[in-house]
Parts: sequence; C-alpha cells; structure tokens
Amino acid sequence: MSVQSYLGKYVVFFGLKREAAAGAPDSQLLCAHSGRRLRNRIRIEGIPEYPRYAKGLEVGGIYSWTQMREETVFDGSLNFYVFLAKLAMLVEHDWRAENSTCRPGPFFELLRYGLQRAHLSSFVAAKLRHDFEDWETRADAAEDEAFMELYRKVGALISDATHGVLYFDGVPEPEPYDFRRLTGLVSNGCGDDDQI
Amino acid sequence: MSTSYYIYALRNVCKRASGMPRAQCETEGSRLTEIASDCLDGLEDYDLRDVKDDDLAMYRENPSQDPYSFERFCERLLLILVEGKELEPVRDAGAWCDAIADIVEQRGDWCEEEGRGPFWEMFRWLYRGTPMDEKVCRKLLADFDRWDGRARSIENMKFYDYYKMLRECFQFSASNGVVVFPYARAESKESPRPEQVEELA
Repeated sequence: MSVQSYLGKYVVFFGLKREAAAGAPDSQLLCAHSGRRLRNRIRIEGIPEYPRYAKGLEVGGIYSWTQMREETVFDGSLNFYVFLAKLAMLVEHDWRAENSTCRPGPFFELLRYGLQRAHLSSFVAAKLRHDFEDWETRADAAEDEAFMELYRKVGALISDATHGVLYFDGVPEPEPYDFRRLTGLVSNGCGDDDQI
Repeated sequence: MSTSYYIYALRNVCKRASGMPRAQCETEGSRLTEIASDCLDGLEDYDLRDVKDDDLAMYRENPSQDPYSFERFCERLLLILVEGKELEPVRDAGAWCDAIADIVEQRGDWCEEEGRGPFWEMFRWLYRGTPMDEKVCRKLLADFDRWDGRARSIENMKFYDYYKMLRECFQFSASNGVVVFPYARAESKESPRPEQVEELA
C-alpha cells in the first residue's frame, strides 16, 4: 500500500490584530519599503461549509500577530493519523456528522477539519479543550502510552490555541477523514462503502 | 493593583443594616491582612470584627501548574446545565458574566429552589467581586448538591475537583458568612475609564 503522508506542522499565532478587511489586496501582506512578505501577517483561511471553524475571525481578512509557536506532530511515521483514528474510536465518532446548529460531538473539528489548511479560532479551541479534559480519564484507561503522549501534546497545543489561533501548515487531506485510509484502523464505514 | 486569584470565604460576619455607620475593623495581626485590599473594600457592608483566624478560608482560583480557571469551570458547567449550549465570544469579564447568567435564566423550567437558575448568582455576580451573603451561599450550596451527580458523571477530573472546591467554599460561609472573589473587580479597576484614556492621548 502506498502511503501518502500529509507532512506539515501546527502553528499557533498569538496577539492577533486585524490590519485589513476581507478583500484587501495582497500588497497589504508586503512591506511597503522592501516589498518583501511581512513575516507577521496572515490572511485568515476559513472552511466554507463550516464557518464556525473561524468564529470570531474575519475570513479573508489580514491579521498581524506578535508571537507564534510551532508544533510538529508529524514525525515521518503514521503516528498522528493513528492517534486521530484511535481518538475517533474512543469517542465513537459519527462519521456522518455534518455541520449542525447544535454543539458538535467531541473532537469533531479536529477529526474532520484538523488536516485542512484553515485557521481554527480560540472559540473552537475552547470547545476542544473541554473535550480533551472530559475524555482524559477514559483515554488514560486504555493504557496506550504512544496514544497518550500525543493526546497530551495535542491537548496542550489546543490549550495554547485558546489564547490565539491555530493553523495547520501542511499538505491538506484530499477529503475529510482520509486519515482512515492511511491507518487502516478504522473502516470507511458509512463513507465510501455506501457509495458503491 | 494586582489581580487576585483567591476566592475568600469568611464566617462569623454580620451584614450591616442599612443606615448604620461602618464598623471599624482592626485587621492588624489577624489573617484578614491576607485578604487583598480591594476585596476588603468590597466587604464594607459587613462587620468583620468577630472574624477569627479560623473563620477565613482562601481558595486558590488557579491552583498548581495545571491551571483550571473559574471561567473554564463555568463554561463547562453551562454545558451541563443547558446541554450543548455554548457561549458566544464576548469582549470582557462583565459581558461574560451577563451572557452566561442570561443563558441559564432563559432556559427556564428550573425547580423552585433554583430560582432564576442553578448557580445563577455565582455566574452573574461572583466574578465581578460582589460578596455572596449567607443566604446566597446556602442557595448555591444546595445547587452544588443537587447537580453533584451530573457534574461527576462527565468524568472530567479537573472540572470535578474545582466543583468540589467551590462547594466547600460556599459550605464554609453558609452560616453567618460571606464569599467574595475580587478577580474582575481588580481587573476593572486596572483599566482606565474612557475619559482618562483621552487625557492620556
């Protein structure tokens, strides 16, 4: 089986301030004098079918940041995808869950959109932090050290993101939940099989 | 002025009747000196003369290296009370208190003892630094007891430890006592009023 790895990293930006509204030209991302790309400017990317992901931020708007933290969870192995698959199994994730007006199920945003190039707002991070805390005891009970290591690492990352904005800076999944295919741990279930 | 992270529970206090002059309170040599000064200001309607060292309990709002804040606690509690209801992002602590209390009150259909809603007084006033008198403490204590099973059932240990801590805090002051948490009170004093900002500019 050929394995495609979505290499990348997670970045948390802190001290965000809106510099220009959506639709502002890319020149706003450049230094007025040197013409170089300003390191501390970002344009907010959203998920069109799931606007809640960037709640509180203006999608398309240009923001400046004062501090950043990078976290690499991809170590060349499939560990991170295995982690996502096990997390989904732990909470019995509903693969059919769509955008709803109610509060989404545990880890929904991370499982479904966590490997998309988009900015996750502090509002969603606060929700995910509650999820990490709610499930910690049950996750720990499985006595899977590798899983718990990533659980704590990603939990800390999400906790940081409650004071900023989290971004997946990497090659995005071609479609949501593609990590299932990579790990083989979770069957496609209702996804691909239904279409056959 | 530094922000206080302590929730203070006192007992053996008397609420001053309206119109009565403020009682002089000698704090020197007593544990009352450990209370942040802005918190004592908030307690000006209370007579603290009979408060002994044993009558003061301090609860760290943000204990240890693994902090769990009052805000996080309340937002998680809200999800238990009004299932699936999340708080919209708000601009400051005062708006946050109002928003969370309003959601609980609007949900309605609470039992008679719960009044405007379980924990309503805590959501609305505690973070602002408003003292919770013995009557409110007893009401909140009953709320904590009534919702204990649900709070434990989510298996979130950080949340439940905090839950038990607050319950203990209100229990401490449920008779002749008062609980005060001057967190946002200190914060709001720190930020200059709009006219002062203009002067600075």
